[in-house]
Amino acid sequence: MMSLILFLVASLLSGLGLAWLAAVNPKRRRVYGLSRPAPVVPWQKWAMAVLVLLPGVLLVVFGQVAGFVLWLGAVTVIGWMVALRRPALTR
Amino acid sequence: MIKLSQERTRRLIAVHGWSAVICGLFLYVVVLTGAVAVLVHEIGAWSVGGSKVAEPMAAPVDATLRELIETVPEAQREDVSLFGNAAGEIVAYFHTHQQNPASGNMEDFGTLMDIDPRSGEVLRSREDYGSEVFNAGPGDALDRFIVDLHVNLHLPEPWGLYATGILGLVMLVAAISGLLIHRHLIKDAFVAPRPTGALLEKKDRHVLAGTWGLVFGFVLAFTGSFFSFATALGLPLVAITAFGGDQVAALETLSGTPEASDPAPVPMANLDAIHARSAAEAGSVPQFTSVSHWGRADSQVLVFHAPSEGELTGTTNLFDGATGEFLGVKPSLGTVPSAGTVAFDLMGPLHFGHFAGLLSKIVWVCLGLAMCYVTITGLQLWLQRREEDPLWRRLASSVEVVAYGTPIGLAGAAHVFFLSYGRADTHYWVASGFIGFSLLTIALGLLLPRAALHRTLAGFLGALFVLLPFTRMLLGGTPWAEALAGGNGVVVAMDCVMVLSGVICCRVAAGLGWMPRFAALTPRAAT
Repeated sequence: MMSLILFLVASLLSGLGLAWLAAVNPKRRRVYGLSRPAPVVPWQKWAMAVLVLLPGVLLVVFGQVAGFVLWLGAVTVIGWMVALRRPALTR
Repeated sequence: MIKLSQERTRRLIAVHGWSAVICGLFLYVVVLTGAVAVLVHEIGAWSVGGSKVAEPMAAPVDATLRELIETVPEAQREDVSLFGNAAGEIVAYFHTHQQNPASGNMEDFGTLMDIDPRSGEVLRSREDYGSEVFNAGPGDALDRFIVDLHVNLHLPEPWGLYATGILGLVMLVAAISGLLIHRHLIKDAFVAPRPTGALLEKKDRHVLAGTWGLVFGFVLAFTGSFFSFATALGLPLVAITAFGGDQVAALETLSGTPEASDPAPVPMANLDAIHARSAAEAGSVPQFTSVSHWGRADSQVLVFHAPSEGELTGTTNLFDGATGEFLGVKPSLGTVPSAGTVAFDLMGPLHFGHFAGLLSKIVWVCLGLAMCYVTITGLQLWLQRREEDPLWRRLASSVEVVAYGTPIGLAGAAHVFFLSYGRADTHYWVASGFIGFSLLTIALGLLLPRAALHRTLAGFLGALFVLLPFTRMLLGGTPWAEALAGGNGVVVAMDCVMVLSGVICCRVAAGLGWMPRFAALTPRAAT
């Protein structure tokens, strides 16, 4: 049960990170004619990378090898789903 | 990403495209059936109305086995294999080893019994060679058909394994060439398909699914090729090159030298006690037990376990069959743990995705479906760029027919399974159902104009999916209330998956998106 909870929390956090990355991705915004967001500052870049990758690293650190492999697969699927969904237009 | 000259890029695109055009449709069939086969245990349980008990191998079996072994011919009492099937029964195979006159190979030969774990009653019994006897019961027809289609395309051995192994290599080539020719892999990772043109949208969809599925596409293709070639080609090659053609010596190196023979009759240790000790050591219920030299002084018991919680690989415990003494963990390859053992052990979980129960299976199904999507969108992209040519136009129809025909054939086979279960030879009728529904799809492909084909086939598939739970229950399948009361939530869950899949297909047939949109979209010019 603990493994399941850790995996779900890790996938959720990484999913949020991927959604953030998608929301500010310059090319995604440009091709959909969305308003240009404020430039991403370095701490935001770090925060996004940490949010996406750190959960996986922590799973390995806590010895959840199966959880890590599962997280890798889940992040792949979540990333695809996030990117596949067309953004709602703001203008 | 990786910068290549124009000439090299052009050559790689040709390799990427032509390999997909030549093998893409077969590859799609193998990948789709592989994605479905991840849930083979659940499909098996669903098709027979659920399991009698959740963990058949956790039930006491020692007394039953001692009783049953006396009923089989003495020659077949040499070895015993034991495992639980999808219906929650214990399957016991009492066997010896002899040459199969049909194949000329040494094989297991004996009596296989399906046993009710609650009463110890023998439900079915059949005598045959190992290559024929497993998964031959009426309830195994649907899951066995799907697995065989994935593993060997129902071609004779070893040609089927060679074919799927080659298709795995083609997938590897496509993944690597795709990585090399796509220059903006990272930049385009979040670019949703642009709705400005059919060709651009198809390209975006293909690139997006390919980008996110690249790593797992590579992993699934590599491990799949390994499983196809390892026994069919790998072992004989290793035997020829490293052991001078001596396959027995190669096998002894890979799986250990057999213990010195001691045929002195000795009472067997209690198998229930061995199972209990093994479960305590491994942290999970036994999955498969193999007893060699039953009732002899040199008897050994191997107990295989699924991965325990948080682990990626299972373990195999070795016991002395005469004393019941725990002899230690047996490496799956070789006699001592090694890097090769670890690599070998990882192949199964990475390919089958069964290491964390239903959760990992669901993720692996999604990854498999993503690979199907990449294959079909890639083919559509290639063909749409050449749609002026009548020959390529005809092939475009065949892509639709195969893309929908394979799941239509599988769903049709499931309907026919329920019609024949308990009434006729399910194995014959499942195969006939698949062929029949596939031929029907081909006929629709030939008769209907291409503009109407996509929606018609999607609607047909949707109807087959939606009707499956009704067919199952109307023909005597376990109702939901009974399934839930018996702890068989998997039956209800599978019914819901079928209806949901059907609704998605029907939405596609109606010209809607595969799921409702919650945000309005007004397409705008895109670059």
